[in-house]
Amino acid sequence: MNSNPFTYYKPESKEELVHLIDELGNLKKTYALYAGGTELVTMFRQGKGLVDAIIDLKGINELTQVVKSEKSVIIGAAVPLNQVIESVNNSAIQEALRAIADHTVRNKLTIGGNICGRLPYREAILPMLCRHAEVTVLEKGELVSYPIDKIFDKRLKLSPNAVLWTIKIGTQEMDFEKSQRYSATTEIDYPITHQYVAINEEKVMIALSGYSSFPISSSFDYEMLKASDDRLAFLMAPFVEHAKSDDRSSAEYRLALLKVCMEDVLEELSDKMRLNDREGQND
Amino acid sequence: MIKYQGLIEIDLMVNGNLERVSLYPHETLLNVLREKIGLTGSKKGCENGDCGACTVLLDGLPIKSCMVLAVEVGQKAITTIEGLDDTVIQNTFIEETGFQCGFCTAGFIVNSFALLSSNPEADEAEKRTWLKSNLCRCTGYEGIINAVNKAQEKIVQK
Repeated sequence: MNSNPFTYYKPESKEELVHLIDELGNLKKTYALYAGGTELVTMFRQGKGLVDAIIDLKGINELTQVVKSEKSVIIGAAVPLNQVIESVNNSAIQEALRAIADHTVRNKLTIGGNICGRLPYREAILPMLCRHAEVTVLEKGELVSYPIDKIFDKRLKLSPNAVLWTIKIGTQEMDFEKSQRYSATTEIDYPITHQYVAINEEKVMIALSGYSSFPISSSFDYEMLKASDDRLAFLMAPFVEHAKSDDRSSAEYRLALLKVCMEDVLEELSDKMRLNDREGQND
Repeated sequence: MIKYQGLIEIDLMVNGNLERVSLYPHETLLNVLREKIGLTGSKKGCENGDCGACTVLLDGLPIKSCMVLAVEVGQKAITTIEGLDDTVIQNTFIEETGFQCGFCTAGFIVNSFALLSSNPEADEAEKRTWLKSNLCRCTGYEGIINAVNKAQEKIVQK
């Protein structure tokens, strides 16, 4: 049984949350932000990450809502992944999120928890990185928005006492968008590699989880890919040196999976986006 | 703002009954159901969110009660396996012998009940997605799948 004798707080507004964080800081009390709790409860049971207080974010309406518009959704940080999947009308994003944990856990596991948690995979970040999501953060009592690529480097880099508030992500169709995931044994396991690729006529965006010690991504002009003489090497180049070896897989195997994925991408692109059309020549 | 510290008393709505329980904020829902309320149908398996033996419903949605604090569910309707007595899915598990040692059975029944309540016409892919949340270490999956399919047929016919 979990034996961490913390105090439980559930603020019901941004103002209450700000005041509570200040108060705990003044009292030199440690705290953890609690949304789904799937990671924290397990950690506490193992005697890890013990804190004086937990702050349940689910009492704050903005954090538990999804606001949809024609081309985007704004997702509260404490929205469970299954609710996000139901709300985001985009099959590639849905597929990427469905790969995380299992269906029952996703009723509890939140998007903010997945991105900000201590586990290194943070797979929900993949479509966010490829679609240049905008994150809003509560810091020093104010809501401040950032492009995700300005604030995510291996992990979401929040200032002390900041709180991830919402994530705004575009849902419009891309010319090509795909999520591919490999695990060591059963499907419900951490990924050896989870690869997310999104391409339009201007940009190629690739993000990986499980492949290295932290999620990594790369973005470049589509025309550069088109002009490359060795497109496979071009697509793989940003990631080759980051492949890790661990008890799930060797770096060589991860590289091989990346190669298979990128070969698939190039094959599909040649049909979908006339990748092989060169100036004055259609092949 | 809600604040709970030390030993507290809260009300939980379990299987339609209001239960007043004394607990600490760090206690899991699974522990409270089993040790404080005496509903031992939900099983303590991995306590890590992997096996699904502790699955209960919160407002109709399946969750793994080993990963939930009891204090966070005070406003919700909790349904355990004891609340699913004589349901179609419970009876088809018996008819199809959808169990071997029985340790995982409560979790499978609760999850299957939620699945068929949510979408009685669930296709094979959806059933597979939902049921992958539960593990049977006896590997008695064939009987479990037969039980779910039979319950689905009965529910759809109704």
